[in-house]
Amino acid sequence: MRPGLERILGGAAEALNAELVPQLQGPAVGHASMIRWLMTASAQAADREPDVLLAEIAAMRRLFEDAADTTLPGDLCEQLREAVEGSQPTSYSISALTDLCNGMKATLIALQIELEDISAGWARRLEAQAWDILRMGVDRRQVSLRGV
Amino acid sequence: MLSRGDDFPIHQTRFLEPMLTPEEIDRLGTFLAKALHAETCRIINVSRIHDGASRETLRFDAVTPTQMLGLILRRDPPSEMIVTERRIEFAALRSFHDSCRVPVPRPIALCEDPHMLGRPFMVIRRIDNARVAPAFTPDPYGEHREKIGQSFFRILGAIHAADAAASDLAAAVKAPSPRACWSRELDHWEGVIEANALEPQPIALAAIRRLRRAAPPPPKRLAIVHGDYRTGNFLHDGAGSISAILDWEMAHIGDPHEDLAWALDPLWAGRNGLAAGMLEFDRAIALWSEASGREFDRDAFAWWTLFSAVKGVAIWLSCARRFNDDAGAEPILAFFGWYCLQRHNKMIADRLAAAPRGALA
Repeated sequence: MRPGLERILGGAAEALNAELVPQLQGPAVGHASMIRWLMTASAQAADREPDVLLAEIAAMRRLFEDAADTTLPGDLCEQLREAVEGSQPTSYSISALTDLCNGMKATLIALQIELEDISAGWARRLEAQAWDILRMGVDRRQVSLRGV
Repeated sequence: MLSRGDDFPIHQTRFLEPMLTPEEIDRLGTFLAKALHAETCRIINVSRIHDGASRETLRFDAVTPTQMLGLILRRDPPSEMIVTERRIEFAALRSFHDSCRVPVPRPIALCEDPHMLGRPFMVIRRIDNARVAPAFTPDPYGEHREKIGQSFFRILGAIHAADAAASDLAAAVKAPSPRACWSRELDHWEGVIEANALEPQPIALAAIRRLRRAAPPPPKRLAIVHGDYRTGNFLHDGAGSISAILDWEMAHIGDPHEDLAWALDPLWAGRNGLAAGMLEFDRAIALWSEASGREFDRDAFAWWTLFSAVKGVAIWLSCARRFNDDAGAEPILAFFGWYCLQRHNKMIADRLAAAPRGALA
């Protein structure tokens, strides 16, 4: 069994810091430190990103299902239903999930724009639901400054 | 076994390469001889300053028959991260180079002829025995934090006290009407987001819509706006004095609350909860107000703080785009496009999710 990505990238980052950085001079030191941070953050992201993307896709699917049953304009409802139908991942690679998630986010933007002009309670609830999804995505992708 | 230099060659990456050819150094010498009214000018001790962001910066010495000058050359990058013009930065520096209240490096010469060094550039005097505290450094000023913080907000006030219409900058940029300050800036940065986003940006776009629905009160009078006034963009002497305000390339004429909001953006504040990481918020505002002769407008400030986060998103997206599109781009661009982008997106999302519908906070 090979070590996990976090161990590989984290170990490489530490080796870079402990063994290579002391041999560098000038701007290369800053670049190497920055590369170390990017490796550490990438390791964290690689581990959790599929999970975050799947959670976002599932949450947007639920939102779109709810929104499609309202009095929103017909073409938007159609867009929402199509997004729900196409929301089943065909691959769990990060790139495929990202493409799927981004497609749904484009629909989310269209939904937000429409909801912001509707004063009814159901629209406010859906708008709040959209913000919950966006906050969840941001919160779960937090990276720290550790190592900079 | 792999060994460095043969089986596993290590190529020097583009961001570490020297940035002026010998021919360019010769041309620079000829150009500077004329600018300095000297018979000859020899360029020596050229080295690059890596500040990672939106321009190429070189330090060097210029030797004429009568003197040796420590100088800095700032050149537009090959593909702009932020669309800037050296002419604007040069004009902004000229607006203050005689000021005793706003310390800036003395501008020496501007060259907009792309045949000289490939791209427009300017030359300014170097300020030796001074340092920059990079953004994100914990407690960068130590025991001098309070003193530097006071100077930081007093100088910002002094910038905003200047007569914008009579400044050199006014000849280089078009001043908006007071009522159009906000829309001009928002239009600009929305365009930067549209041009650079690699994926949909629902958070920033929602913020832009919110800002458009809640226009801020116009400034009572226009001001010179630095455009990137923050920790990390000034030199200090290590003993509590600010030596020079740097990075004027985004200077324009507009609402002074724009600078105030950017300077107070939590991204630059570190973890101590202080304004710009240096002073209590009320103290910072009082110093700025006293030095600028302007009243602090809470409504305007609320608008411009949300705008600052949007502007941040735009800048970080342009960094991410440049890193994505350029295999030789500096690694720090990936950091900006990742860490800084997530911070500003979180600020916006937390704020707008909690704000009453249509409100800014």
